[in-house]
Amino acid sequence: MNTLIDELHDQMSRRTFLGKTSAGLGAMALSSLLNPFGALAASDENQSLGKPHFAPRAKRVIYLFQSGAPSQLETFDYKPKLEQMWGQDLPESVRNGQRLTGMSASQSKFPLAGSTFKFAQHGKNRMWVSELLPHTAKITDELCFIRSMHTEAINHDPAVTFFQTGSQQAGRPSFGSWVSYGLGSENRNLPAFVVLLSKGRNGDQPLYAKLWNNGFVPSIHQGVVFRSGPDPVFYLNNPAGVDKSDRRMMLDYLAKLHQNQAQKVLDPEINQRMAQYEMAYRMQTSVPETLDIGKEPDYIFDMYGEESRMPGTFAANCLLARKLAEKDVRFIQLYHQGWDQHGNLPRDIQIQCKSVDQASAALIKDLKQRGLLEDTLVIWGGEFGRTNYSQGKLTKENYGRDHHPRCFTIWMAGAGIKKGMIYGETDEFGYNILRDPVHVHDFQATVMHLMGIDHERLVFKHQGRRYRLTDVHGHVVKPILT
Amino acid sequence: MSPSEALVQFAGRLHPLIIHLPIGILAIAVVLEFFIHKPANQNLMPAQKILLFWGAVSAVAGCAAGFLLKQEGGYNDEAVSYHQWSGIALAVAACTAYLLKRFPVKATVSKALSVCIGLLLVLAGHFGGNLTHGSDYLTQPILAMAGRGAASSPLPKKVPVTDSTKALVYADLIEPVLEQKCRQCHNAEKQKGNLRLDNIDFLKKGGKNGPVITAGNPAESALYTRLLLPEEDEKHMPPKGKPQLNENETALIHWWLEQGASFDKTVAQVPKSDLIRKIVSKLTVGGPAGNEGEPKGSSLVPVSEVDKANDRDIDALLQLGAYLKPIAADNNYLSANFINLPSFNDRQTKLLLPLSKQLVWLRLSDTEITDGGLADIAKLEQLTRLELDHTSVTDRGMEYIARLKNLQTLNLYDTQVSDAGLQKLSALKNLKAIYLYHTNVTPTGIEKIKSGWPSTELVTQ
Repeated sequence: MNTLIDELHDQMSRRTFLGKTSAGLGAMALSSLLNPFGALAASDENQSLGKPHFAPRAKRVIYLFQSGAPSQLETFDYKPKLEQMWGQDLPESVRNGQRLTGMSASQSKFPLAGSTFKFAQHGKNRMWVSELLPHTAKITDELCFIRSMHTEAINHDPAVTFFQTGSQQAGRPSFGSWVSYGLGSENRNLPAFVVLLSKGRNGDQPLYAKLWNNGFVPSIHQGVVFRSGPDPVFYLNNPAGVDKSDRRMMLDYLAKLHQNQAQKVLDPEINQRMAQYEMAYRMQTSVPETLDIGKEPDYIFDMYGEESRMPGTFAANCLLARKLAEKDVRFIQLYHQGWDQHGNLPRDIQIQCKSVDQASAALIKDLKQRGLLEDTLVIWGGEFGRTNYSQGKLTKENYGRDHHPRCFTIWMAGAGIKKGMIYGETDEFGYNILRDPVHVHDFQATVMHLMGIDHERLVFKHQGRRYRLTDVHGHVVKPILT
Repeated sequence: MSPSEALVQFAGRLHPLIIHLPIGILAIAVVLEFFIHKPANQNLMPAQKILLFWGAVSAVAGCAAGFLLKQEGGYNDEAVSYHQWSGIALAVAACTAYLLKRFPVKATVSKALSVCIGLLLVLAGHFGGNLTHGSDYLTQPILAMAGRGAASSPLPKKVPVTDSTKALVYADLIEPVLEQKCRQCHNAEKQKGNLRLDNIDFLKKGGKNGPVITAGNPAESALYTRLLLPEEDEKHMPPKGKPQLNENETALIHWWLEQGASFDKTVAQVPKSDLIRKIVSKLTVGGPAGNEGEPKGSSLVPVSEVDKANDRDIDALLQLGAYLKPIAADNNYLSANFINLPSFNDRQTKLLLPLSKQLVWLRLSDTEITDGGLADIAKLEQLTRLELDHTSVTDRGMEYIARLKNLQTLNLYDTQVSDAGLQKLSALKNLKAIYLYHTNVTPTGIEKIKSGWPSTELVTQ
């Protein structure tokens, strides 16, 4: 028994030990003489806000992340110049020696490739959208296109990580975790940060759990993946032979053990764990209830498209996203894989667009008719853009596009965002940004701002340094706000 | 900085310490001079010699230190030269007075010299004071009393701007801060870092490190960033030990720079956050906190302040399982959500009444509330956003809702409300959006009410 207790004491983290016992230690006493608040303040500093810094415009976010990086040149950023100069080499004056990825850097030629898909102007503000996205084209009056997004990352994993955590290296808290840490949840029966996954075609870039990880903020803020099928959350349902009252008894006893442990070891993560067990217990009821699409009427499925009846598709996830928004889930993160079209772009992008177009537009319309769009922010976009030249051989029917971090388009809609707006402009080659660049950190700062958070003030102290989602960067993009 | 340079700077900075020695010593000597010529006081003569000797030595040392301090720069040349030459003259006079004690001179001569020393003491001291505190430091209270020179008042502004709608951002809010916290060292006489903040042109010009303001970008404006550095930092402003800006003053500077650092806009013309509005309303009296320049529809939270709600009343709802939180930090208005309390019903609506001054957002979606409960809801006069979707409210309840004059968005999706109910709401002139999807409202009903609501969005599908 003694050895077990010793072991437990060994588990007490250094940080907790110093934080809790400093008053009795000579060294700590000295340091507290020199800095009366420093020694003990560290543990109190990382407090969730619980309420926004200022009145929020958005209560929730639905982020339709298009993983793999959709080509802006086939969707939202119309460049007739590329059609005129089809097959000609990308002028060096445009690229100006900028870095390319290893995949196309060794090409002897960079033949410019115009979109094989036709563009037309839509809505009151005559916004260009390609024929690949006919449903999105119909709702441009609700959308704000940002055509001047740019990023520092050049490959998928660091680029997605950058968008999700503000850093290209893994280990920082995800966007949704920051928001959950900052604001908490209005619905105590569901996690504040929910993740839904889908893919348009097989064999594309993978996704990793680290993208929705809580990093160094408490683990209750981790994104929870809701899978498709009968068991949406792993191990949530009671095992066969265990009923609800057994489960309750087991949890109550477990809580006692946890409390004992917490008093001995003083590890704050134990309290987090207890909170998560209780949340899971409540989720046993709330999750099946929320995810049940059986009661949705046919016209809703018609709106989102036939695929929305098939669990695990992007369309089904959009419908779920609406249901989670109705339940006041704070941050609803969808990932849709399959946009990495280095080759066979004309064929693959059709499949991919078809899998997202109708459902994305339906989500906006559905939120609007339910009165949810005015306090829900919807974001649609990938981790970077694609090159204006063809990777590999360019023919009239077929071409591919490499990664392009220097400009790409995303759209936002809903709470606090101007409707029918185009922000930013790229040059006629679709290579560089001419006007109003928006960096990933600016984007993050803007989303935080809409949620009532000052991105410079939502900080977490970890290993002696105060961290922010936006690191030391980021400016709120005011012109797109109402 | 090399060790010798550092030593020079150190010696120079001893000037303010050293010069108080000749001031004290010579002042005594001047007084004593009028006594020692009487035969009864002859025994004081040796003391006078000692006083004059050390007075002269310390005056010379003061001059030397002053000369070194001048090398550091940051002072108006003209003002320095007055101080410098009066100081040197004083040192020379003190030396002369000491040397004359070695020779038999007439009492009148040495008395006259003493008067000179006294005058030079006052002059050099005054010029020195002007260098440190500004030329109008001494005279200002007198001039202010006489009703003059108020424009350059270094005293805290005692008279608040009377009408915040007409108040100027720079002249009425920013300049007083600069006046109190910055100009002591950045003025016509003293220009630390070659920066003057005593008029707009100099403010625009900046200092030896370039401009200090970048319109629209506080993060690139030294006028703001220097305030944020840790107080221990050498570059922190105002320097450690001087009066610091408080949080509100810092926020005002940030806001002014962020909104374009205009010198002529009024408070009403510039968008304001809740915090700024609060600060402005504290600094001004009368008039609303100037809401004109704001884009309409951005404010679902009332401008005026409200007292904190009673904790007991809040707890009663929390106990029940409702979500209840302030809209934001530093804001006492409340948002309530009954998402986890679908059983909330008409008997419980009374619990909301004590919060009628604070509740602005209320989500009752999917609860058991009916028309009867809306009678209480109608008393929550501050409500700007009300969600009643998925409830059994009907046209009858709309009579109550029509009393909520501040309502800006109303969600009636999936209720039994029809054209008749909609008609009752026509009195709600502030309504910006009303959600009527899945109700009994018909296109004819919409057509009928549309003209009375020119800027209201009626969402039916």
